[in-house]
Amino acid sequence: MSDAAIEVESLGRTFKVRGGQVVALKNVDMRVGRGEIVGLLGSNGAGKTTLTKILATLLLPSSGTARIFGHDVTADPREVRRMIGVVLGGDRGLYSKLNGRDNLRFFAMLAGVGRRGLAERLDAALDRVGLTEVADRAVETYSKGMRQRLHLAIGMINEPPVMLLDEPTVGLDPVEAERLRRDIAGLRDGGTSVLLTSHYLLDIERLADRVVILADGEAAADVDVAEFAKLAGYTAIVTVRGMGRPPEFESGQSQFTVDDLSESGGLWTLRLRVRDWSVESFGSLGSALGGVDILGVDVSPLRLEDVYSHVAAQLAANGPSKAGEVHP
Amino acid sequence: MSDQRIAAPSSPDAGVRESLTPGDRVRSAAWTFLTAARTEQRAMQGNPLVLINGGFLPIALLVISVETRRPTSGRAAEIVVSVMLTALWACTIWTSGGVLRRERTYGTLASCVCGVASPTVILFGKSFGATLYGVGMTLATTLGTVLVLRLPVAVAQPFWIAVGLVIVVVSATTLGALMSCLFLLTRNGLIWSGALMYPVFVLGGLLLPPDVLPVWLRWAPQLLSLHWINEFLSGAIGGGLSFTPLSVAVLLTIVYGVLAWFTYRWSIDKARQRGTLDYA
Repeated sequence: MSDAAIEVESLGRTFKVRGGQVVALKNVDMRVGRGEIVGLLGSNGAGKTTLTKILATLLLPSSGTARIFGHDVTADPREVRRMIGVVLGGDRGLYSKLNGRDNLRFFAMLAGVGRRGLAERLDAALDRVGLTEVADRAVETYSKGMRQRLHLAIGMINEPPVMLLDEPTVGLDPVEAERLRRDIAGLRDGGTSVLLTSHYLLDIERLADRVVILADGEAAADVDVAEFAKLAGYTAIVTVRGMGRPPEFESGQSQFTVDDLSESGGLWTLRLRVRDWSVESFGSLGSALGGVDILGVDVSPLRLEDVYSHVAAQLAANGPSKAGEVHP
Repeated sequence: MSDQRIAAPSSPDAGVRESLTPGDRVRSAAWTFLTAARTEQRAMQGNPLVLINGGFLPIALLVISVETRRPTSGRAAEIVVSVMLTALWACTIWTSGGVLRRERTYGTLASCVCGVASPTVILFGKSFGATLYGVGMTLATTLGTVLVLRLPVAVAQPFWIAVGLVIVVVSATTLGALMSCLFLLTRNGLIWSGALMYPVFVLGGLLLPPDVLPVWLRWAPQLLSLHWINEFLSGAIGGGLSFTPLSVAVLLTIVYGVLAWFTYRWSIDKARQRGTLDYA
């Protein structure tokens, strides 16, 4: 039995369109270990959905292989389906006229859960996602967050060792999104492997151990989250506002990079990228700003969104074939 | 929300599944079938297609048919059965034929065809549930209208009328399942089903008598079980019972079922190749 939960090797997929073909994935290699949460990032059209659909056995690959715990998605789809749970963001994918419990019962049957002990299992799943009170209400009366939690309960009903989550927090308010993130974090604590696709970098930051970036159908980067954060080359942005003469930073001051300097009516705003927060960098900043008339200082720690924007800009400029440049 | 930890996942190493006895398999398939049927019936509550075809159509046709000239008891039975068949067919063929279209609309199609449970059993279960829902509505409306209009209905062979109605349900289920496959092959299934609606009605003899069709098209109604069931039921009402049309109807129903079985599996493979399955 393979040690990897998900193994993807040289995976490719092309779609025939009028007048030619579109390459959605080409030679993608990636791996998700047992109990690991891997974030899958990429702009629209990068191939994330195609990869997820292949792993969910909805789509056949054109080339290469994808395996879930050693079971090939093409040769052994039924066994793969026993091992995966799929959770998607959005309002669809449920029977709105049915209540939550009946939806869960139907999807449990689809997932191969037997009749024996089903009622207890449904109760436990509803309790786990906090829907016990509303389990007998029609789903059409549910809020977006409640529907999303029902999706999660459906995905987990057969207790699969692998979960594929596609934009699970899309459209949720911050409280609901945080509640869902806690549930997903609980999956890892229970030993489940998760492939998490999300445009919300906060989801990745809070949950993922590793990040795979797809660009133009290729895996352009595969790094752990800590390394990913370093790809931008800085850890924070310091914005200083002042009046009179702006401070000057020597080119040798490696801790800072001037990102932007704007002046208007004797007032200036300076944006600095801080490479690394350390005693030295604080000292350097203090000396550079000494004797300058400062009106305010604002420090914004680097967000994963900023890193992704930086990486995406590099990929757009260089293409995935130059992906080595964004590898750590 | 409960503080309990998420349950440990089922072991991926349990590669060899527990072997099931044939009895277990049958019980499991029966449960899958019934759960799918029940889910479909609940999901269809208030469906306008069923309300119009199963609720409004029999009332309108019966009122129009009997109000122009009060029929005798034998003629009334013939009219009632014809109206009921027309409404049943119109109602069930489009409710069961639209099973996968509705799944696509709900965003549940991919889950239904790419789950662990047999997608074929689920399709037949859902098609059966949809058909029963339509039949229930049509029978209730027709009987209610007969009582309100005080029609003198007398049937020579009531048992065989009931048998004919059972064949209608099974036949509509299997033909509906066959037509459903269209929605797997193309995202434009709704447009196709709309385009096919009137040709099927005309060829099935619902809008025009088959002998009005051009000679080169008169073979087409012979392929529809409805045509033979209609012939059988007409005999059962008048007392001239003939089992040949019943046998042909049963044979055609089996053919629809076998075709649906293979077409569905082929359609799923095609859909996975073409990428026409979406999760939502």
